[in-house]
Amino acid sequence: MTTKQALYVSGLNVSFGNFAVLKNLSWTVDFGEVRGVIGPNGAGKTTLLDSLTGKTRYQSGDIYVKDTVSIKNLTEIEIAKLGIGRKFQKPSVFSGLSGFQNLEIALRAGHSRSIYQPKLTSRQREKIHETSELIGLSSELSRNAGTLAHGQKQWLEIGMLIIAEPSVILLDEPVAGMNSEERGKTAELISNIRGPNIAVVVVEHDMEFVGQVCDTVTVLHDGRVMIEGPMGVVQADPQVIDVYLGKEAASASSH
Amino acid sequence: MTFLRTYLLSVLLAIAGSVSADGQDRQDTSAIVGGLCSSKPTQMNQALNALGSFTVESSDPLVIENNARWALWIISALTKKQLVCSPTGSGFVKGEDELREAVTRELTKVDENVKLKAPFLHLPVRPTAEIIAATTEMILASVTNDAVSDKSLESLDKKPEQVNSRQFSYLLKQSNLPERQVKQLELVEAYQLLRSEDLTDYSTALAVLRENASRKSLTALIEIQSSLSPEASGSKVEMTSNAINAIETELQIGQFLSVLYSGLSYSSILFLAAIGLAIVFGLMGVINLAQGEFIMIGAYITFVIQELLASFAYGLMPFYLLISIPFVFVLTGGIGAAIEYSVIRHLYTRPLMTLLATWGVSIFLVNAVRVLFGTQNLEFYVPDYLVGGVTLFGDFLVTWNRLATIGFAVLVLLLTWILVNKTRFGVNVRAVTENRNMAGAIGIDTRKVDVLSFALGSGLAGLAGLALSTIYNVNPTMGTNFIVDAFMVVVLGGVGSIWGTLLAALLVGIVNVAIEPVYGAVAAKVIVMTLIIVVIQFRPEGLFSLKVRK
Amino acid sequence: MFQASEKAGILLALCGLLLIGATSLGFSTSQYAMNLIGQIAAFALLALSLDLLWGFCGILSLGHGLFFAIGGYLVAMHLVKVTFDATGTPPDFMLFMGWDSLPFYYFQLDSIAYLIVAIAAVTTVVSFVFGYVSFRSRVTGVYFAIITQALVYMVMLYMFRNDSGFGGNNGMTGFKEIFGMPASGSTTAAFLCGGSLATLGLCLYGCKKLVDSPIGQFMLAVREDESRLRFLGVNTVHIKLIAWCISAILAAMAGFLYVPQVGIVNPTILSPELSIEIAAWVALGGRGSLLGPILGAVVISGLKFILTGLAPDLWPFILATLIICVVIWSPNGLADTSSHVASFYRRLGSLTSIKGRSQP
Ligand SMILES: Nc1ncnc2c1ncn2[C@@H]1O[C@H](COP(=O)(O)OP(=O)(O)O)[C@@H](O)[C@H]1O
Ligand SMILES: [Mg+2]
Repeated sequence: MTTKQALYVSGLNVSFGNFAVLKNLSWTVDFGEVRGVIGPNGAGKTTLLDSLTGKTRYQSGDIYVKDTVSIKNLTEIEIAKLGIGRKFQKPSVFSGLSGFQNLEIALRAGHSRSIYQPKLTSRQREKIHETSELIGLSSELSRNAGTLAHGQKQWLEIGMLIIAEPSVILLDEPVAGMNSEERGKTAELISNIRGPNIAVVVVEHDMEFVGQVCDTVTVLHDGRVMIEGPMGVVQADPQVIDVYLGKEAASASSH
Repeated sequence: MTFLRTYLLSVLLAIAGSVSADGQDRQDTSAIVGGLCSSKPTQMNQALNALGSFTVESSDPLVIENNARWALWIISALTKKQLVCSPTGSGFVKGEDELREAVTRELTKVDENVKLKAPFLHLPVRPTAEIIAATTEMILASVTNDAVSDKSLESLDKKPEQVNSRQFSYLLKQSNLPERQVKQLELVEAYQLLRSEDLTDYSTALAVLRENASRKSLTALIEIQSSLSPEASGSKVEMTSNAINAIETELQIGQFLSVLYSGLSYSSILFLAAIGLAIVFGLMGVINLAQGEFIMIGAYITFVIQELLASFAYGLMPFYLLISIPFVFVLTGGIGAAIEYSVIRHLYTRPLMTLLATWGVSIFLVNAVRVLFGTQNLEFYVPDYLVGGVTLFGDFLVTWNRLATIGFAVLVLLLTWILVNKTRFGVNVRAVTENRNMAGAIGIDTRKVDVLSFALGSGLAGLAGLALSTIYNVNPTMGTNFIVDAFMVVVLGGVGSIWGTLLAALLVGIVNVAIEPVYGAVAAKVIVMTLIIVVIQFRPEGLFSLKVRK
Repeated sequence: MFQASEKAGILLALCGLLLIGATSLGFSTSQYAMNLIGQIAAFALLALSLDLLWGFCGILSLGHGLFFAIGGYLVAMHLVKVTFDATGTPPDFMLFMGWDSLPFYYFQLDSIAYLIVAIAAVTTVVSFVFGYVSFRSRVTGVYFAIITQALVYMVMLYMFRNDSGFGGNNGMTGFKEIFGMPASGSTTAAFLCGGSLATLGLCLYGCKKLVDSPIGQFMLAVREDESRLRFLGVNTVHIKLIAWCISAILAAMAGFLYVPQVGIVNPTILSPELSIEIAAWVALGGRGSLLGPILGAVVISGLKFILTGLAPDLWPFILATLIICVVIWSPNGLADTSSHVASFYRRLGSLTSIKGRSQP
């Protein structure tokens, strides 16, 4: 049996107090795919990623990784060790350390045995340099990560994910606050990441960007999956236009 | 043991009874003085009892008054070592620069060669002297219609079985005694009736003792129980053990209530100290290490106001605690606001640094107070209405000052609750606690909220200082005694929750008070720490934390 | 910049060894000066231990006096035991309790090797257990600081008791000889001072190596963003435990060096005030630099030695003002201030000569 489903979410319920954020959500992502998740603010996108990474506990339902592994009782550390990497909505890099050190930590963390290994092997150094080229930061490696530009921090964070060779990459708003040139670079980066043994989930507001990088798009609304399909189909759906695009169109026209 | 005592008692009674009925008989009085001068415990006790009987020899109130005054004079001279005796056994009472004949009370002189010596007060003589003095005072009061001091009532309670029976039966016949005195006499009677063979008397005695449950009545009953012969009537044995059980239960309840009560009063102080910390911590993630010093300053402001009233408005002195409340709250709150404005606000992004900065503030405050007032404990005047208390249950004494502290804390709790839940300021505080940026974005002046909350927290700590001023020692370093417990309360109770703080204050306060006397302060701290560690395993943010998205 | 602390460590160690060598050759020194320098060196080591934890791993402990006291009390027990073996009478505080021999836990403490093992073992066990429980339940930041403070306070209350066998509130003193030398005298002082300097130097060097190692990098990562590190799959409890236990052992070593030099140990070294004061040294010197906190400890405890003699009433005010000002205006402590000064000079230099431009 070959594994196909990277993520399988079944009947997921998450609520804070009396406030239900995810309501009986069922959802799957296959290996090899780049999946977009869109939805209005407060739809529960970040909460979904929080549940997938163990940051938020879910009340009922379950989440399976690589077909079989339930993450219900796992800590965020164990989930990360399963090969699920996540970029946060707010860029989270170790700002007191250099770009190189950030990548080195992520690399060592990805292989728990090498945390205490005194010196990097030449293969590992090579890998850090390869990754830094991929994210376009090879000339900034010695800079303090805190001093990088906003976009560069986002790339560095993505670099920290891919250097650990994960099976699932979750990106929460990877192009927020980027100009169009940077968006283009990010789209390129994501298409470089994709491969048959990896699933990429992109949570975004930017429709154009999602259309550019994703095969399939899930529209999340009010804690449920509203519709799922290729961007063209989703965009044409009247319901989606009503709750999501409609608002944007309305606000755009009012300016 | 008991046998011996009964025997002695009967001997004493026989001697007391044998004294001649002629009240003014010199013979008797000089025999009494001679007995007191003997310096032998048995003879002195006999003499004291004879003295007691002597007071009620006559039925003429004037004679009784006269004799009672004389008896009190002699006993007080004896206990103050002013009664001195010549080697021949005649007694004199030494005053300042004068000497009086003990029997006649007349001024006299003694040849310098005669060595006058005060009789040695043996341990068994003291309580007898005290009790005879107490009953004599009551007798005197009954003829002059004066009030009897609490002290004599208390000494009566100490060894009721030693009360002189003639004095006692005289007192029982008086109809003008105040109620408290009658109760006390009934109790004395009960102790004497315990030796009665009559079952009805015995059961009355048991009933009275049950009503007045105390350690003392318990020991007396246990002693009786062990002396009951096996062939004594079964109902007597059973009645006694029932009474013992009832008294034991009541004592245990009383004990439990006492611990609970002093725990509650400590919790009240802790609550007042910690609620400010908890609000500020919830709001700004800042722990104020100078909170203990605000308690201290609150107590010192109370002291200053007491002194001011003493010099300028003496009539208001009894109310100085009430008068201090607004001053303490506003002044400590003001100092808090000043510190927030000058120090804390620079450090909101660096909460660990506020620990250090506020520690600096605390060193400053402690030493400033030390330089101004010195290091000694302050003397607080305790108004009459806070002195003493009422015994409710067994040994459980509800003292007024602790009761006032608890009531005060409850009042502050209610006001704080109303402030946080029912006012605009409270809504703002809660909004900033949950989401500072959002609150700022919708137009709440977060700076103002910070300053005011810090002032509120400091003001409440100041009130804690006021509340404890008549209960605990007040000196410049007193803050340290409360601060660690107050932190424990905050950690245990969780951030920014009034109810969590209350619950944790109750827990920490009561655990401390319950364990400290038995196993020491360390055990109390260990248990509180363990409690906290256990709680944190399950609720990392404390018992009642707000769920805040990070 | 990088090598500064390594160099300083080697230099200090060499100074210490030189002092020891010179003293054993008969070179005589001022006992007062040796004592002062030696004690300050012990304080500097204490500051270094907290800096490793707080400055590099972001964990503030307000209870480091506990580990200082473990080292201090154990070495005092050793000295008591040695005195007992020589004289046959237990110290006064035990006679007072009616004990005519030492309690069982003094067993074998007369051997220095055993003493060192005991210090290492007790410190490791205590720090490991407390650290494991707290870190596992994710007690961090202000919470952790407060709980460590409560811990040290609790132990202090215990040590105040006379029946603990550790001297109660008077503590343990009256040692006859120290590591085979007479208890007082300039030679002993010089040896202890040299030993303290050498230990401080070696520890400084070791800390530098540690913070440059991968573990040091992970410690920094914990300091920067512990939660991010967890989402990368790192069990941060391990990293924090390593930092915590190493730091505890350094603090215990400081206590081991300190107590023989002052000749007494009592529960005041467990007072929460001392523990906060350590944090003040670190903050004033500059967290996250290894030399800064050493400087902070030297400056403040030096000032304290001088001023408590000259103006005892003034000292607390000076300390308080210093702490508040540095914390507010110079977040990274004196190290920061010195770099302000340095950059000012650099700017001054670059105005006069183009060559003066520094590396970014
Ligand atoms: N820890 C939390 N406590 C309370 N409410 C939360 C928490 N996390 C998320 N929410 C609420 O859940 C809803 C969904 O949030 P989120 O998942 O961030 O939406 P999105 O990322 O789609 O914009 C929002 O209304 C938010 O306020
Ligand atoms: Mg979101």
